[in-house]
Amino acid sequence: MEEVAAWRTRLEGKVVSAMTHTGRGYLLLVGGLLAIVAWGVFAYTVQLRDGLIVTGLRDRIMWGFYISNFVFVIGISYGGVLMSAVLRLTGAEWRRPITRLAEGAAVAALCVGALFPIIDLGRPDRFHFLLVHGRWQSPIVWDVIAISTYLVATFLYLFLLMIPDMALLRDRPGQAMSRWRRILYRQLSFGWVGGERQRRTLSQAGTMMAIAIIPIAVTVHTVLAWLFSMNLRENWNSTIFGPFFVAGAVFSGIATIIVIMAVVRKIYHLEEYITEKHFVYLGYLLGIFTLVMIYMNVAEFLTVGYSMVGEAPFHLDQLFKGQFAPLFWFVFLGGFVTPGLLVLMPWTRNIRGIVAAALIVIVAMGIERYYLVVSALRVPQMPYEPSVYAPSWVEFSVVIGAFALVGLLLALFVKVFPVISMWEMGETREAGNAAGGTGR
Amino acid sequence: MRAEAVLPLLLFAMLGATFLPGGVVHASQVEIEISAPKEAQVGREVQIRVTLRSSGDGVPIADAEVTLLREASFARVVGDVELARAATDQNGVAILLYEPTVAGEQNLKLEYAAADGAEPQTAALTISVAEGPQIERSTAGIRVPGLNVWALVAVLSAVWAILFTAALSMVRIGRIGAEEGAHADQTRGRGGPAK
Repeated sequence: MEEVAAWRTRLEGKVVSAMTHTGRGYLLLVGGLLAIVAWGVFAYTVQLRDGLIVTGLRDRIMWGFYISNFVFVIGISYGGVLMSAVLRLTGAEWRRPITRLAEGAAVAALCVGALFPIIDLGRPDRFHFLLVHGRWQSPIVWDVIAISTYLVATFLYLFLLMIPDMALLRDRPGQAMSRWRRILYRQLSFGWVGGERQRRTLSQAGTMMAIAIIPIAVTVHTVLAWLFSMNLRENWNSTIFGPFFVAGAVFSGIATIIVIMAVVRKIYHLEEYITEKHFVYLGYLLGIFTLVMIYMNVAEFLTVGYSMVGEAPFHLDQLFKGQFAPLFWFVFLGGFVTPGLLVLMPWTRNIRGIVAAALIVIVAMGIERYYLVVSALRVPQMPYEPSVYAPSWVEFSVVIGAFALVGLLLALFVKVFPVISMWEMGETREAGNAAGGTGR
Repeated sequence: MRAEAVLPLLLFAMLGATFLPGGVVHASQVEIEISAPKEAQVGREVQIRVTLRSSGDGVPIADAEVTLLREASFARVVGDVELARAATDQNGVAILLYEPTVAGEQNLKLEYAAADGAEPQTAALTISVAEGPQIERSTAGIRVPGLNVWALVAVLSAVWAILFTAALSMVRIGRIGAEEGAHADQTRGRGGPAK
């Protein structure tokens, strides 16, 4: 028991220290991110002032960098939550040190990702038209409903399972906790004292949320796919689009968690809790999803390419040999095959190799979302020349600013909330000790 | 003996009359006859009857593809938009169905391209199209009786009910905490062990 107590104290010390000790590096990081966000906001004000003409978007290619990144960022969010929920329900004990990070990343990504369609509107003052004049038959209305439901569910899921940790921080003695922190933790701990009834209620609610959030998350990304596939564009009008989007979201979500995990582990010296095993297990998941992505791509393109009717010849030509060929082949060979090999090879199946694979996947999935959106819109629908689209400096700035905002929210998250679920880790350790195991 | 020689010749001539024109006739040797209404209405389908005959002997051309086109310009690019396509029958007749979408004089073009890759032969026709009823109708989608907005509302209500229950659990945790805290205070007041 003494060993467990000492282990708990050490864990709490590490986690709380990460929250309360702010070094120069952290301040520099936050300052840098704030500067990038400010630049993004400035670019957006230019767009607000002059209209969408400052972007590369025109009447034929009217969805570009904003919408592709909307799909990408929502996907990251989805992947984090789904991974956490599935591992919780399947009782995968190794998940415990990483679920909080996954949930935090999901919330941060979702908060920012939901802004992209509004940015893409050009006239954000008209957004409420969607609510006032929206028709329930429209996939855009479904999307608004799905994303707002998912946002509430993700917040609930995160904060519900954080209650015992909030109580732990609330009750922590010493001067380390400032007044605002104590007030915040007192409010978010919901009077937690750790009694049997409270534990039972928390466990039931946690399980219920974990079950509910899986179909919600799947629905959100499927509805997002329907936004495309219910268009009468032959290249989007595909039944496979829903599952394709979901698989891509999990794929990029896992990769993002791996990278965030590596950064947080390194900065806050959490090597004792986030071990190589966690990277390898997530690497396996990443490896499985490389196969899923390859399968999905082959299934989609082979079916379309075999019949070669309508817009398919033009579309496939521009993907495989034309304007988008470098991007497509980078994604297919670099983004799907290479990470799979990195996970497969024993000598690269370590933290470095898996983080490298995850970084490649993140870049590749961002590109994949880009050509998925833009290439289909480039296919002519009338006797006109295929359009040309390139994101302008405004679009680049706004998108980079948005990514910096995700980083900033995460940086603030790790300062305000514990990055590791201390109470869950403690439970596992105690159970492991009681069973005479190592408490993995 | 003479009858034996004549029979194959007759047979050959008959086969030739039946099959040769459809297969090898050049587009420039084809006579295109068009029968179409002079007037039409937006949204109302019209039938355009096209007959193809070999210009020399007037033999109908069967199994030939005829295309109805309209010249269109969009974003400074000019080209032909295909409106309908049909194949001729044994009498050399093809029926093309065309639903005008805009009012006004419609200058249409019929095109016949011979199988041997010769220059396609075209014929022009003009149809005067009057304004008609609204042609954009929301016919897409599946209509299942009972599956309407209420189905969506039901699903959403179920999901939000779960979320609401989870939120209530947090309140319940708070209430239990308050009860247990009060109980602990009472115990302490009676000199019991402090938690």
